[in-house]
Amino acid sequence: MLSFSIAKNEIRHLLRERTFFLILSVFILITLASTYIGWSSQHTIESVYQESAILLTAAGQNVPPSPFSNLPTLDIVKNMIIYIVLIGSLLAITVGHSIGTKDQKAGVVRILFSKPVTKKDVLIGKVTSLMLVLFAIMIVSLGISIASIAMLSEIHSAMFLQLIGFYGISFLYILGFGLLGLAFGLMKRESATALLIPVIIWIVITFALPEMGSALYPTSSLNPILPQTNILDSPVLSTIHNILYPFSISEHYKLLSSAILALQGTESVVSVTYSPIMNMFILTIWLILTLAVSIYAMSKFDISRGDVYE
Amino acid sequence: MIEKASMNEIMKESPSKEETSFSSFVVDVRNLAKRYGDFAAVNDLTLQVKKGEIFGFLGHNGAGKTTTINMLTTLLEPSSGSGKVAGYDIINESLEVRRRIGYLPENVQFYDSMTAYENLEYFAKLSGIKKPDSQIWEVLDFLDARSYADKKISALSKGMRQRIGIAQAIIHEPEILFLDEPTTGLDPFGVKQLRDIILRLNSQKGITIFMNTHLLQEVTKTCSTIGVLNHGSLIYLDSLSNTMKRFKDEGSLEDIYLNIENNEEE
Repeated sequence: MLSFSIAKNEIRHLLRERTFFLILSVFILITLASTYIGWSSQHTIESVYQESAILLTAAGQNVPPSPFSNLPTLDIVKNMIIYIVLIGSLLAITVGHSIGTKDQKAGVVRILFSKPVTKKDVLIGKVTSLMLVLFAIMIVSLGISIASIAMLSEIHSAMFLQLIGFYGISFLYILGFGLLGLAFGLMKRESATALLIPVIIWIVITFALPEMGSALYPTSSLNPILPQTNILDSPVLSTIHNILYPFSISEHYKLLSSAILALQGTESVVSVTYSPIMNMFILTIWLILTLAVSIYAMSKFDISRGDVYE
Repeated sequence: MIEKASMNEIMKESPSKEETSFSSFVVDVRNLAKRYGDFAAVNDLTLQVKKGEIFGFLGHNGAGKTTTINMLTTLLEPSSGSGKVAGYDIINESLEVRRRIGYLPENVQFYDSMTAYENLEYFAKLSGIKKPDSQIWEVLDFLDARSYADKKISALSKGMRQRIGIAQAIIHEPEILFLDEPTTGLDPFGVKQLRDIILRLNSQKGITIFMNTHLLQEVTKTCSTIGVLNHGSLIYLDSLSNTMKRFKDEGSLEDIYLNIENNEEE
């Protein structure tokens, strides 16, 4: 009951924040843009193919099959995977940070804990509000994706399930970042530091670890053609890969999402990959770890804190 | 000038202590201490406050008054010693203590994006009141603050916020109200209004008041008992009437206060 009141208050506070609505609007826009860009790319190449086919037929030459003929319909939302990794997780950090620092910024920590509430009540309330807000964002995004696919292409019942699965996984992925934002919001006495640390973790998970753990090929980020030589044959690089790959959370999320959406051509460049079940297991561990950090942060939270929060 | 011998006799002496039964103490702490490394913020504090009193806790900046209130309100765990507030242990029964106390911190603040009513509703629910509407209006009427209800906290003056602060502290009808430097930042009119509120809370609602203050003048006008804390140690404790009798040669309470502190330091 107390946690419910706390969660309700957190959500009310977020909904009154302009920054939150600005970020949410951006997220909705990128969801729309993702589908449109996916559809537009397919449509453009298909048009070029059709014109080429006409020219080839007129010239009496054989017409090769369309490169997009075997693509799944959900291929047009594949950009959402990278948008979730890049923007969704940042949005979640912002939301978590806002929830974690709210009481300190308002200067009500002492009043709050002079009431018969425990740290556990407060943490449950804050985590619940974080989950509800991120869940609502994912639901909105799912709705937009379904509506835009229905408008631009055709949608079947199986696709609903695939999209629900994808947004479910995305929810778990960004929830981990939200929990980090919450935890450091509780842990640090300066707002800037509290935001900076989870952002640094986000940079490491999103860019550094995938580069070191699964994209050890020097030109892999520039050259779409898979290298002919497997440089992981090098013992040093292979060891680095084996150590870092399990921690490459964003890679596991991307691979799992691609598997759920049944996307083509998304196989990893690394020689050793995990099964979707293993990807899911690692994402679960990620979530448990971030929750543990939040619990630790709340356990160390100074409830007699009365100084000015900056 | 008071002789040190006579000063020592009256120090830490509560004349009515023997006449009072244990259960009539709302605050009863024994050898309470809070240490940060080698520094003792509060040292060996033994103190009792009776039901219905208005207790003025005096001391200079850094004397340990806020640390004491933080321990009594269960916000801070003591390093050693024991204590009961409203009959419950401040260490092992902190939630029971919190159910029975009200607390107004120095420079009270609220959620700026919410109205006064919304803030009160939230804190009332956290105090265990499921449907607090009638209590909110009742307490706002008591404090003559009904007109503030729909205003955003950011739009309220310091004095107005102080009233809303008291409202959140008394909405669940606590046995004891802890006020930490309640007059800080108030103009003389605001101070007088606050004094009247404190007296009415005590006389009409029967709430015991524990008040940290710098303003000695306020002590004479509101408090029934005073305690003086110096460098974390309680150096004086007596009723205001006894204090005024014992120091009748002093021109003002300020002289008494300075005398007490000077004698202790010698």
